[in-house]
Parts: sequence; C-alpha cells; structure tokens
Amino acid sequence: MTAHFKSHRPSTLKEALELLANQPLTIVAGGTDLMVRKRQWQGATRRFSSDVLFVKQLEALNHIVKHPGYWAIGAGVTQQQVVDHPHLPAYLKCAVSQMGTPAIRNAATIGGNVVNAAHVADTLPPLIASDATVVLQSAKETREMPVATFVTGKYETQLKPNELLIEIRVPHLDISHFSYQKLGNRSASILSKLSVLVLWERLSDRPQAHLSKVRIAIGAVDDLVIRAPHLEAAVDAKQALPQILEGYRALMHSKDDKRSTKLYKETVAINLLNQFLEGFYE
Amino acid sequence: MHYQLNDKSYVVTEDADLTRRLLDVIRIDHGLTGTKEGCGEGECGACLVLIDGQIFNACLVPLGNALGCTVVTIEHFATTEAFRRISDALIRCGAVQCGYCTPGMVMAIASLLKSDPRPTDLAIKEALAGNLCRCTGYQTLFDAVKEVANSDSSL
Repeated sequence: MTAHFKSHRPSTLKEALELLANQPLTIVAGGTDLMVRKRQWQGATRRFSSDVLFVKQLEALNHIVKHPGYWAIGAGVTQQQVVDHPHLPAYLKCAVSQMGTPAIRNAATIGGNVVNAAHVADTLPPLIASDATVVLQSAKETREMPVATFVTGKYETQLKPNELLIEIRVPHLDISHFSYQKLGNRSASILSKLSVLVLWERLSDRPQAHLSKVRIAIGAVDDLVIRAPHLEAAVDAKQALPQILEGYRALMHSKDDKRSTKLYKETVAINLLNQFLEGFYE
Repeated sequence: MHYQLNDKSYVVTEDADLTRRLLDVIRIDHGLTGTKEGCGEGECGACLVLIDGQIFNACLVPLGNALGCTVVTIEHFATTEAFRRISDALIRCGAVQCGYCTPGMVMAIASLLKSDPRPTDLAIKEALAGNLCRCTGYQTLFDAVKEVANSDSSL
C-alpha cells in the first residue's frame, strides 16, 4: 500500500509560495510527465514521495504577454496555447507543435517541459537558441537566469525546493528565418532522437543568400542542448565549414540510449548541419 | 471543490487524493467503462475525454486538474447528434473492428471536426496522431472523418 500524501491546490501564487516555503513538495502542472513517471498498476495511486502541489489552476502562471524586449510566457501556459498564439515566434511554435499529440499538448505546460529538463525536451533548443530566461520565485525572492544556465543536466535544474518557475521570457530577436529538423522513430507523438534548430537573418542587400546573426541549437544529442556562439560567429565564411562541423562534433558527448546510439545521433546531427550550411554556400 | 461529469456535479472532499487519475475516477468511482485504458501513459488515446470541450488523456490528468471543469465521457457524448453522425460514418466505412480504440477515436474526431469542419488529409492525420488502432490500418478511419466532413452540414 502506498502512503497517501496530501494534495495541495492553492488558488493564488502567494499561497503556493507559502506552502513551498514550509515543506518539500512535488510540483504538478499538466501532469503529462509526472503521472507517467509515478505510475503504478491500473487503479493504483501514483507513487509520489512527498506531498503534492498543484499549480495548473494558478491564474498568475497563465499569461502570454508581449513586453518591449521580450515575450513573457507563464509557466502554466499549455503547449497548445503556444501553438495557437497568433504572434509568438514561429520557430518556437514550430518546435512545440511537433511535441506529443493534440491531447497531450492540451495538458502539457511549457514550464513543465523546462523544469522537467529531460535531455529530449523539445522546448529547450528554441529557448536556448533565443537566449530565453526563466523567472523563479519563492516567498522571499525572485530571480531570473538564462534557460541555458538553469538547466544543469538531464532532469537537473537550479530550482530550489522553495521556488516555483513562474515565467519564461523569450527575447525579441532580429531574425526572420529558421530551420527546425527533428528526428524520431515516427513523425508524430515521438520523443526526439535529435533536433537541429538554426535561426538566422538574411541580408537583403546581398545578391547571394547570406547568413547573419546565426544561432544554432542542437537538442537531445547530449544531456544539455549544444550551443556554441564562437562557432555561430564563424558560419559566415564558406571556407570555415570543415572547422565548424569539426567544432560541433568535438562538443558532442552523446551516449547510447533506448532511442538511438551515440554514433547515429552525432553523425546525423552533423550531417543535418552540413546539409543546411552547404545549401547556403552554394 | 467539485467537478462536473457529464450532466452532474460532484463534490471532492478536502482530504481527497487529488493525484488519482481522472481515468480511475471515471471508471472505478462512476462505473463508466466506455473510457478505456490502453497504455496508461498517454500514447494510445483510448482514454480520451473532453475537458471543457478539449480532448485530454484521462490517464494523465490528475483529479486535481479536473476540479472546476466539465468532463464529458463517451457515454454522455453518445447522446448527441454529433456522435450519431460520427458513429454512422465509422460503421459505414468499416472503421470499427475490436472497438477498443473507438471511444477515444470518436472523441478525437469530434474535437477535430468542431474546430476544423473541412480538414485536409494532413490535418486529419495530425488530429488522430495520438490514437492508436491495431485493427483497421487507419485508412477506414480517415475515410469516415472525410465522410462526415464532406456532408452538407458541419458537426
């Protein structure tokens, strides 16, 4: 028999933060990860190891607002709300629209995907490519840090036990193009073997296609999303291509897992990047 | 604390375990077994229900996230004209064999046609991407959706 832990379902953010200040709680948003990870047999309760804090009902986490420098996306915003939003950046909507299934996107939250910090989390490449930040709040303080700093490993983040991820801030970028390629065993309802996201601006005063302000994020290959500004800066010159690809390859420390192998993920990620960049230099 | 299930409202007590799956509440507490449990991890879509008009995997929804919401299961949806038209089309197209995926499939089809009355082939595939059927090979299901979509009146 599993112990029955208490469920807390506060109606305001303030109450939620007060509860978190006093005891360790397992935070449940949409439930799409935790309800599976804590599963037992049919009909049995979920196997939580502490009291549970529900946050999906908190209105303070359910906003999408355009500020002068950035988009503020509440941590409780669902993936479907992101996809349906008319003005959020297309590269973000594209990546999120390929996550899960329609029913899962109705439940799964953007904050949940970030704070769960799976190495295959598909919100992380667009958020890290755009230098997005997270806003973490406790009863005592609020802090903001880059998503790339917040996520420290596979399922590991800098979230303190008394903190709640309340908002994700996506800066307005001066880019108009993107390419997103996600590989999985099938095209829908699949976790990524790997993904390659490239954001760039095309300079209109040049006759040839020309890349500038390039941002490259490679997801699911390593425990952390791969981003290398020094290599991005070198992308402009065709003769640098071999060194760029070599540079990315050197950054990869993949492992064999149930979805794929190290060799496959690293080779295919490099091939996709090569294919994309060669297309521009031609 | 309460939730609405089909046409009735139910109260949830303060000490209730809100981490229980909505699927278990529906099947065990209410004895409504039309909502099926397939995989239990959000992959198969057999447990789809409508929550405030949108499809959800009842196996992934903790009771706590259904509070204050209206849940509609296949038993209640089966009393509607939309159901009758989807059901007729599924039967005519031979899109039902063992029937285990059918309640969830009906919910996904209803949700699609409500938001997109004339879906493209791609939109139909995307809308049913979360519903596994091991019998029909899907083509008859796509045919049934198109049959409803191509009829004179939308759902």
